[in-house]
Amino acid sequence: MERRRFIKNIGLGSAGLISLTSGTWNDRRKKVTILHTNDTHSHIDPFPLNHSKYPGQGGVERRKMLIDQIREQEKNVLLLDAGDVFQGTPFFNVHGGVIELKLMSAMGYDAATMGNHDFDGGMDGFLNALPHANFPFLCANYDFRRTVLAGKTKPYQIFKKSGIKIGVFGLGVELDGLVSRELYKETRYLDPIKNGQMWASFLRHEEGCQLVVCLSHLGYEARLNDFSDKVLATETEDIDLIIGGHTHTFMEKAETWKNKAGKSVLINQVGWAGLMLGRVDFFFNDKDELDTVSLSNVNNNYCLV
Amino acid sequence: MKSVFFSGLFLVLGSCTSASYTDYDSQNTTLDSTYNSNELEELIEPYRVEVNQQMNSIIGFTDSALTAFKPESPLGNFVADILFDYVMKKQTRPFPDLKAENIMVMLNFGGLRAPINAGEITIGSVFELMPFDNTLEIVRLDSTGFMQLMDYLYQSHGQPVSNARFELTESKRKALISNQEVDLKQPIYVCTSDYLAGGGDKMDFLKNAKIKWNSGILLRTIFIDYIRRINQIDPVQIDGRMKISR
Repeated sequence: MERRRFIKNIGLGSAGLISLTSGTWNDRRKKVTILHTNDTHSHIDPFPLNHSKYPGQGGVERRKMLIDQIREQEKNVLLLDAGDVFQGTPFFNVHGGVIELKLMSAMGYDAATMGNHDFDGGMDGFLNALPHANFPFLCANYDFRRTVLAGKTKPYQIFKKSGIKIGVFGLGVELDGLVSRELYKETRYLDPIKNGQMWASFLRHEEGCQLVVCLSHLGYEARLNDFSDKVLATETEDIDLIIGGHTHTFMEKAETWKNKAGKSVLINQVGWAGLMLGRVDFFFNDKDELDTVSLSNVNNNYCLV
Repeated sequence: MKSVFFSGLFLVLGSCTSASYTDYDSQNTTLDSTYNSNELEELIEPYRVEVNQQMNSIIGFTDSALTAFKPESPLGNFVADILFDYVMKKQTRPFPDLKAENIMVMLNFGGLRAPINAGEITIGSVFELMPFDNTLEIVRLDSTGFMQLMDYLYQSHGQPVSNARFELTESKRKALISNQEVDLKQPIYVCTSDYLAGGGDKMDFLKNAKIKWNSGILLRTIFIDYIRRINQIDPVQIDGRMKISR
């Protein structure tokens, strides 16, 4: 106990020093910026000017420009995608998804999950395009062991930004009834709620992640199946943010739900076709951390500034 | 110096329970013309050249945009009517008893991926409308299957159909095929995509049907051929073929 208090005091002292040199309270708060897309569906160019709904909107150039701007302003940025990268313009029909993954790599995506349309080129089609992605595909509830994608995806990835550990994992929608069997072959579907809970707990408690993000292609609301982001949010714990997809739901900003343990969980989704860029900033505040008297708070706020 | 000291401290403290964030902010941004650059064009260009070569060929023209919405829409009627026209014009019939009086077309709104915009229609427009390599399939339904089809149409707020009219309420199921009352003692043929015939979008009543025939012809090819032949698309009307009230 004594030692703990001692270290805390050192921490406080150091924090004081830092605050003297770095200015305001706000400057000392650590911030993790999550940027995200979903259901971009091979939309590389903006919609044509005669498009009936989104004339002139979207396009990868604009997305990259905004991402680059934010990266200049923010230190700790993660760029994520919640699936359905493929299918929707002739780019996919002609090139099989190669250019989509090359562009995501050029924009600096950190991770993505697979949507149902990412199976549209078959397992071989995805496998052939995959070398053009310099980021991992995270799939925690597709068992690919009996397919050519065995070992090509992983359930989760941990990122460290200014010492904050961020665990990201991916959940996909049930393929039966949505994708032809010839395309997904021997892929086994695993319960997304059970598996989501398992990986979220693992990331939070075993790996000690301060932020747990789920890339979900389950859909905001259940349509023809039983699972959705709302169900995932309310029936699990240990997830901080669900980045959704599949239902092409446009949201202005993330919304807050209460998880199984009564804690906040955010859901955010940005429509489709790369028309929007989603953003959630998380702040790690040392005042709050000291109140909770957790050693990791010292790490968050003093060791790792 | 500071950072060395602090990371040392981190090591001493070792494994610690995880704290979480204390506050958040969220704002999504629409990517409109405020944001522009052409940094990626060099990467895209060679791919674009090949796509354009294949896609920019003009096959027809429409004065008004064809859009899709439930329960009935110009785009849904347009594509479903093209498939009905295709099946009726075919020289050979896969089933000897198949005729206008016992066949209808049904697709799914989810499969129509883009509107056809006003102006020139290119091969690319049809690819965007129907990017999937789905083929035309005909499924034979018995009366149980057809009742399930009507339940599905009611529950899913309507789907694109042709050569059929539906009036559906919670308690009432009324269907006409070729403007005649449906004879439930006879089989009814449903012309659709192989995706839906295989139970896509949870159309289990199509999946469970025992008798099916696949044409092997891409729906997209049928659309492209039709638009080429007609060239100038007349405005497509909503004619009340799908009436659903709750």
